[in-house]
Amino acid sequence: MARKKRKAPSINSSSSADLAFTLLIFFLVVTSMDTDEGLTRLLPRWTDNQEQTQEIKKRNILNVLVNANNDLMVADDIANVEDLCEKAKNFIKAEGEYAGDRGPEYIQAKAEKNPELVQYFGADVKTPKNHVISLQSDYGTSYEMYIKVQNELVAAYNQLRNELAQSKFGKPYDEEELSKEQMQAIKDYYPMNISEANAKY
Amino acid sequence: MGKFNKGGKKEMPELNTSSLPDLVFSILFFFMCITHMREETAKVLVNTPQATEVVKLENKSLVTTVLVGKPKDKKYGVESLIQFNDDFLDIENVVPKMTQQRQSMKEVDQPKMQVSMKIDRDTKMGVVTDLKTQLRKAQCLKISYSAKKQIRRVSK
Repeated sequence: MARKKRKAPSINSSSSADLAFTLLIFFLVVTSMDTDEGLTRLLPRWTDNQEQTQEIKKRNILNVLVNANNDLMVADDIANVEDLCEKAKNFIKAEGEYAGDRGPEYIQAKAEKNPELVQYFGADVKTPKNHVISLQSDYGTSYEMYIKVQNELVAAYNQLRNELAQSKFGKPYDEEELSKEQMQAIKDYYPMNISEANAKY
Repeated sequence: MGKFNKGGKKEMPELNTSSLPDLVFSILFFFMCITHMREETAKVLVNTPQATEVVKLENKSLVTTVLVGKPKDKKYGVESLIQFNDDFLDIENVVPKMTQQRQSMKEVDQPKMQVSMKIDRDTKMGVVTDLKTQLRKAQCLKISYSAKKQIRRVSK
């Protein structure tokens, strides 16, 4: 018999696209592209001697208390979460209801300590560096309320820093807009001093 | 002059789809590369609160995640529990576990270690405060309260 030379039949590859699609959809589903976001904080160092306290003048402290019923108290007054941001801003700047006799004593010069501040704000710059916002929560406070309060306080700082950056450099307080030194100078001008005291039992 | 073939019905030429698999495969490889399989399955229900001032946590290799919430399985009770790496974590064991976690990181990264706390919004602050105290004891001072981004509505 005479043999014909046969070509090998080519494999039908039209279904390989479907196959790849199936795999593709699988990976699309299992991929998690979410980046973690949150309010970042630096906790104070743990010391065995918890008695060690820091003397802070009473007028430099803004007490923020949240009780087990999620009620908010700001400086001996019941307050709404919505007003907290404005109150915190006024306190830090020593304006409005917190002006009183605080003025110059409360806002103290720290010019010689920080050369960057001198560079941008002049030698006799006075910044509210001594203030402390003391945030106290109760054992039964809900975490949602706690974060709301934290968020308002961070918002107060961000707004103040933004206002300062706008008036000083004409740019928003943003890493992409300002140089590293400028960012640091603004951070030093309004340092974030939030003390998260332990829950009361 | 040109002839106009009016009578003949022309068929549409078929689209060549032979390169379609290659195309799909390249997208497939892209997704395979960026995917990292979720190693841990959440054993607690976590619905993080919303906040407007959140910042993104850069550099995932520095971040350790701790979950706090009510257990999904009722046999573990209804009290809020701490979950770390697929397992429930007793509050006494936070310090050794965190120290162990820190030692497993590169030496240059160890001081930059950051703990992201994903806490359910209905959790009571007592659990959170206890956890924070233990983290302080474990020298994990950089923390983050994980929250969802929300647009700040302008008042006034």
